[in-house]
Amino acid sequence: MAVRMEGPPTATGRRRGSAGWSASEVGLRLGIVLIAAVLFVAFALTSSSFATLGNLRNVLEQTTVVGIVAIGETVVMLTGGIDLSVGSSVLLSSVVMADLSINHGWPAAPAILVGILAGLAVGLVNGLVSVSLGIEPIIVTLGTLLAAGGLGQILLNNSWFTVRSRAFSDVAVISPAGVPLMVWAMLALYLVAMLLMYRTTFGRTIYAIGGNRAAARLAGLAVGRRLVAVYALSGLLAGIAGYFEAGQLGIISQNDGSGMEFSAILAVLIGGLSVKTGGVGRIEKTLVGAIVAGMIANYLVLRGVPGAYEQAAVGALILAAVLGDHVLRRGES
Amino acid sequence: MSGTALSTHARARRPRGSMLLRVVERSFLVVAIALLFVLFWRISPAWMNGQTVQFVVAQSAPLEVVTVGMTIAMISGNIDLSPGSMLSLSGMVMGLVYERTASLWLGLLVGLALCLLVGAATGLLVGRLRMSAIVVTLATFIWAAGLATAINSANAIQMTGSVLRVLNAGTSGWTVAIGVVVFAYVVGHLLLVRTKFGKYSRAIGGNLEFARRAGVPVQRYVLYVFLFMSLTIWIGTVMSVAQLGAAQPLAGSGLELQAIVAVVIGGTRLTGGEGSMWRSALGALLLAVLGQGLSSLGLSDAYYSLWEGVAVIVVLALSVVLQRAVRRGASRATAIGPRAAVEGTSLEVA
Repeated sequence: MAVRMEGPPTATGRRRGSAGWSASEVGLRLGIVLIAAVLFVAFALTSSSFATLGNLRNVLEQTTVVGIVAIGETVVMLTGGIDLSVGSSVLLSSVVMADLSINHGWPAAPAILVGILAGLAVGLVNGLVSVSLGIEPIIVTLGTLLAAGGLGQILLNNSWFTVRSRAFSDVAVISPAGVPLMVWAMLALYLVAMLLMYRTTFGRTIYAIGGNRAAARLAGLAVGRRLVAVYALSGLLAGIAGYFEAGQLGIISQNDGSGMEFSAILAVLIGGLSVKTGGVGRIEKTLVGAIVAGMIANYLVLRGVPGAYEQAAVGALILAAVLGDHVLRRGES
Repeated sequence: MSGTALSTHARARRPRGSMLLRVVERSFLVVAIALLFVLFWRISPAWMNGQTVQFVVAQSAPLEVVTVGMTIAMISGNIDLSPGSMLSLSGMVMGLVYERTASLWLGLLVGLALCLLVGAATGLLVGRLRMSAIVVTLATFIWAAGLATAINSANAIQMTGSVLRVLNAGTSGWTVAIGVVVFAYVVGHLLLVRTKFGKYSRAIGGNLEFARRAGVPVQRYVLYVFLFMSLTIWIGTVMSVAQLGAAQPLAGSGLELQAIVAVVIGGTRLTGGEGSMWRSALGALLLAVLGQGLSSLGLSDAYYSLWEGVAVIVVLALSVVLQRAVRRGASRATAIGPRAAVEGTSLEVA
């Protein structure tokens, strides 16, 4: 079934979503971790350069931007919605900060801040339009995907930006404990998101809205305002991801961020979030999902799979991973 | 007789609220399309001539045909993200076979087999294994796009033949392709309102669990939905190849989202259960006018995408506001609307 915006969740979804995490849920949580472990061992056995520290560092670094975007996507999809605009927000954010610092002589810090705020603005538009008018988020965010992407392209003006400021490159260069700063930042953001989702009223409200929106509304929760906040959060995280994208690449060109919405959604789905119902899913599993996708892409490069076939193989492997997870889940429940 | 199917019928025939509001809502898409034509005509008068309408329809033929399949898929509560990639892939496969065997027919048949095979796989995974259609078709979206660009090192393959020429034949812009589009919508409409396939699709989209309990063979009909979807993708592929005179690795890129937008503009909700083929046709036509009009302005890609995004949001906002107003009027008119009844049930169980 498609993204369920409202209406009755299935019986199984309700049982899982309602209270606490049962024994079967613990099993489900292991599902994707188990698959990740199997893939890791298989990759390590078949490619000598896979399980080296340098390469694993690469995998994490390649995962960072998508991983951060995927946090916001997870929260959005927990409410039963979807955000297709994140890729364009990443582009817009990095283009705005590069444009301000290169063409307008802004110091790095305010330029970066305004860039991140551009991402937040896109998220706010998504939230306000979809909530106040009650339009399906998939359409609103498709509109902002086109519009924000177009804005970014206009600023790029068929060219590219090269950012040389240390404020950008440091995130990929400085590596405390051998791991780049941006990877630490991603992990920190996951930690914050977990605290937000599991330990605060806001988080519980999000799960309630995703589990049964009508019930949440009847229970007196401010559903609309929370949803706006959720899309704003997704935009903000995409803005932050834009900063790391600029820092990691050093060059911002028109294809940056393109298709990232699908990578982020995939990370969420591999992590096992239920698209059918919303209200079920864990933030940290998205991280595992993002890393699984990153590992697969990395492994294919190491094995010398030709670039174009790489995408085909990624799609097939992801389907296999999701299928495996699905079969495991059925066994559990 | 299934209770769900009955209730979907009841929904279609329920008494409506304000007559005026209903007329405005009904004609909104037609008015919007007309306004767009006028707008683009005012901006660039040269664009508008006796063949513009035909040109717009013919140019967007693949989108329009795929929208037929997408409408039924979304009414059944499913969604298909793969049409764009599958259109590119099946086109490239047709091209490859054509190049190797010099037989256009064989190429078309292999393309059809590929589409149906993928459609059947999707239908089985979604129907039988109850996997999410989004997940399955998102994976296809990725692997098929990858294969399509890999297959001939991302080079287009020239294709010609009598079958393809026939599609472009016609007088004063009214090509055979336009006839095929109209035919597809007529068939789609009849399937939706006259057949068990249509009735069950609506029932499954309305409430899958109710449909199952009412004895609808859900697995089989979900399979049919995706087979029908893949058939429209194949027709779209043939039209795209005929139009371009070649199979191109990126021919379908973005098509899936456009088809989804067309269906949603046409008033079908993503949750499924109800929808109309004619309104989907208008939704697709609106996108076609928008796309062709914008490209007639000679905008750069960047401005094109900016305006397309803004227009999609504006049109949708307007049409959704109207739909909602009508629905509100309708639910005031009926004692208890079917939607409320369904929600009530879910609350009881919860």
